Amino acid sequence: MTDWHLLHFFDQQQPRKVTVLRQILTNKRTGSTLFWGLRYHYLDYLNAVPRLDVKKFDDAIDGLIAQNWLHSSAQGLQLTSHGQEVLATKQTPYSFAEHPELNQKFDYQLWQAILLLMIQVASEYRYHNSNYYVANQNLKAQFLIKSWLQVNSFETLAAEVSKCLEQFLDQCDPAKADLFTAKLVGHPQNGLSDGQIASQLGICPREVSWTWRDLAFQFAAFVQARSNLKISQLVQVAALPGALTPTIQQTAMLFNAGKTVDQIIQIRRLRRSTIEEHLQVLAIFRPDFPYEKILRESDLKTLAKVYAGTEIDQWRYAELQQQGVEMPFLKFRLYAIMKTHGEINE
Amino acid sequence: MNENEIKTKLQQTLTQEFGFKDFKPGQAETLTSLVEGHSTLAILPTGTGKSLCYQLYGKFTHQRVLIISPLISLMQDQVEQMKYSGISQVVALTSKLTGQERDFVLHNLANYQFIFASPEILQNELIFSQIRRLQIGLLVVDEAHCIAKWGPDFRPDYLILGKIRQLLGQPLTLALTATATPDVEMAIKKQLRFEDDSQVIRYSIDRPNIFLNVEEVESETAKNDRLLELVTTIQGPGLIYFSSKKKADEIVEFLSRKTSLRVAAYHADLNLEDRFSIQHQFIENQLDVICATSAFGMGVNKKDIRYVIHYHLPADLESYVQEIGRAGRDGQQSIAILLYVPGDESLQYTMQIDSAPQKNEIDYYYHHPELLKDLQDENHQFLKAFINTKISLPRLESFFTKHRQDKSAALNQMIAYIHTDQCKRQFILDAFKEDRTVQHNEKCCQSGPVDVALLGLEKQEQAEPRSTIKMQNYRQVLAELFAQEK
Repeated sequence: MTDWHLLHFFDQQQPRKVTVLRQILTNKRTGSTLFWGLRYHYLDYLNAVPRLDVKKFDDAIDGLIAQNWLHSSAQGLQLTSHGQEVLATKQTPYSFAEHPELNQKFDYQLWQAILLLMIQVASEYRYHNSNYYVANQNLKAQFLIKSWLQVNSFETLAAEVSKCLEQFLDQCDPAKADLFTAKLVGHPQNGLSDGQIASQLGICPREVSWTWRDLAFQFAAFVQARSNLKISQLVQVAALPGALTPTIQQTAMLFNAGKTVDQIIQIRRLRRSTIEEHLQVLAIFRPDFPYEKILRESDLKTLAKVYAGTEIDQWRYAELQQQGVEMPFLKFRLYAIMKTHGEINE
Repeated sequence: MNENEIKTKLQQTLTQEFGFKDFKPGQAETLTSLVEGHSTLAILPTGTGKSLCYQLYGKFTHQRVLIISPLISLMQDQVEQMKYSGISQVVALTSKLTGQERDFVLHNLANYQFIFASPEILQNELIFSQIRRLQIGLLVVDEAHCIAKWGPDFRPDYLILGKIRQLLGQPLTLALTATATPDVEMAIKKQLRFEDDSQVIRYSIDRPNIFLNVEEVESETAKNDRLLELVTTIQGPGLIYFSSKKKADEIVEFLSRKTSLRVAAYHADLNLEDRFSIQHQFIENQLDVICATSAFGMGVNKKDIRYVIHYHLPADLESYVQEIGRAGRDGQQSIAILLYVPGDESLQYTMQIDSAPQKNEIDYYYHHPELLKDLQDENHQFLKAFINTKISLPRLESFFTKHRQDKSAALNQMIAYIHTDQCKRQFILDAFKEDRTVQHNEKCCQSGPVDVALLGLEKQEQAEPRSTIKMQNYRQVLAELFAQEK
C-alpha cells in the first residue's frame, strides 16, 4: 500500500496494534485477531491484501511514524493531528474501497480472471472472431468458462454480460464507471494500464487498481443477486464462504439447536479451545448472538463490576483472577464482544 | 522419406498450418535435421523464428514437445502467441502457477501437446514424475547458451538438463540459441549429452539491416536531451532499454511531458493485465515508444520496431546482441543506438558486486540451505540452484570467484565495444568467433551522432493524427465492446 493510505486505519483517540491490521489484511482469522479487528473497525478489510509484502508494510508504518503522522506507544499507534490533515488533504474518491467487505465474499484472483475472460469472449463473439490473444492466462478461469459454454450459448453469455454491465455501471459513479470499462479487453480494445488511467485522472496507479477491484467485487455481488441469470453460475465458482467457514457454521447449527459447549465438543470431537473460538467468531459476526446461552445474570453482574469505568480496550482477563473470580476466558471475551456491539449500535 | 520429400512436406506444413510462404534462414535445415532423427543445436540470429522450428515439428509429427526455458515471462508470451496462432494445447509449467492451477495442469498434462517448463520446476519430483510418464517426441532447450558455466548468462539449473534428458530416455533434442561461440557450442553438446550424429545448424548472428551506433555524451542531462532528439527525429516505433525500472518510469514521464509521443513503461512492476494491455497497444501501433527492462523487452513481439536505444549499457555483448535483435524483424532498415556517458559502467559494476554472494555468505547458506527457501531474489535463487547440484563448498566458492571474473570480463568487452574505433559489426563477429570479414559501408555502423536521413529513417509526417490513448465514457466502451449502437 502507498504509505499515506495506511493512515486510514488509525484513529486519533484509540491506539491500535499494527499486528492486528497486518493479520486482518492477510486474512489470519484467530479469535484474538478478529476480536481486535472488531474493536478497531477493521473487519471489513479481512482478506483485503492476502499477499501483503510484510517488510514493505512494516517499512511503510515506520515511515509514517518517522514523519509524525502516526504516534507510537506501548498501547499501539495513533493518528496524529498532522496525520489527520494529510489524510484529509490527499484523499480522493478513489483512495478507498466503497465495499471492502466484499474481499471476504469472493476469490479476487479467480473472479478477476473470469470477469475479464467472460467480457473478452462475449465481445469477440459479437464480432464473429475466434482468433484473438486471450487476455488472462488463469487456467482454472479458462476451463470454467469453456465448461460453461458447453452448456450455455455464446449468445446467452454476450446478452447477459452486456446487459448486466450496463445496468450495474448505470448505478455507479460515472467517473468510476469510466475507469472500470477502461481496463476491459475485447475486440476493439486492449484496455488501458493502471498508469495510463492514473495519469489521466491525476491519481496514483494503486488507486486505479483498488477502485477497479472494488467495482469488480460489486459487479460480482450484483450478478450473484440475480440468480436467474446463467452467468451467476460463473460468479458462484469464485464465491468464498466468508468469515463463517463451514466448520464454524456446523458449530453454530448445533449451538442454535440448544447444545451446550460440552455437548458440541463431544459431537464434533474437537478441542474445547476450537469450539470456544468458533463461538467467539460467531458472536463477532452475528450481533444477534444469544449471549444468554453462555453468560448468566450473575456473570454479567460480576463482569460489569470488575470492569466498571474502564475502556474495553484496557480490559485484561488477568484482572478477574486478581479479584479472585473464577471465570472461563470465553465468558470474558463474549462479554467484551457484546459490549463492543453495544457501543457500535449507540 | 528422402530429404527432398521431407523438405516438400515441411514446406506444406509451413503454409497450411502457419500461413507462411517461405522458411527463414536456418529453419528448414533445422527441421530437416530433426525429422531425420538428429538431435540438433540451432544457432540462429534473433528474429529468425526459432520457436517456429519446434512448433512446426510438433504439427508435422503430431508428437509432444517439451520446451525448457529460463525466463517465465518469455514462456508466458510464447504460450499466448501460440494460442493466438490456434495452437490451444499449450501450457507453461512455472512457479507462477497457483496450487489450483498446477493441480489442474498435472491432472490434464497428457492433453497438452506443447509443454513449457522452467528448469527449476522440473526439479519438483511430483511434476517430473508426471512428465516422465508422457511420450516426449521432442525436447527443446531454449536459450541453450545459459549452459555455459563461464558465460555471464549461466544458470546452474541448466546443468541438470543433461540428467533430465537422460531420465526422459534421451529424446530427440533441439537446443536453440542466438549466440554461441565454438566453446559454448561444445559445452551445450556435452552438457546435453548429444549423440555423435547430432547436428549443428549455425547462421551468423549478424543482422545486416540493423545499423549499429554508439554515441558518447557528457552527462545524464545531455543523454536525456539527446534521447529526446532521437525519439522525435527517428521514425518509430521504438524500444528503449534500461537497467532499472525506476529510470524507465522516469523517462516515460519525461518523454510524455516533452513530446506528443505515446510512451509507456514495460517491466516487472506491471501486473499481468497491464503487461497485456501495453504489449498489445504497442503491437497495434497505439504506442510509439516502449521503455523496457531487458527481460520484458525480449517478450515484445513486434516486427516493425525501427529503433532500439540502450539508455544503459547492458552487462555483456551477448545481451546487447539479443536486445538489439528486437529491431527490424521485418527485414527493413533499423538502427540500434547505445547512449553512453563515461562512468555509466559503474551501474553495471555495482549490480555485479551486489549480485555476487561473498565467501562468508556462500559458506553460511551452504550450511543452512533451508534458509534460502523463502528468499526470492535472483542472487539467492542462483545460490540455491547451485547448492541443489550437490557441489562441494570449495568448488562452489571457486565457481563464484570465477563467475565474478567472467562477468567482469564480459562487461569489459561491452565497454571495449563502446570505445572501439574499428567496425562495430566486425567487433561483434570477432567476439563471437565468427570467421567473416564485414564489408563495411555507410549503412553498417558509426560512432558519434548519426544522420538518420542517410538510413531513410527520418520521422515521417503523419498523414492522419495518431489517436492518443484516452479513457472513454463507459457507455461508449460497452457499445464498442459488444457491437451495439451507441
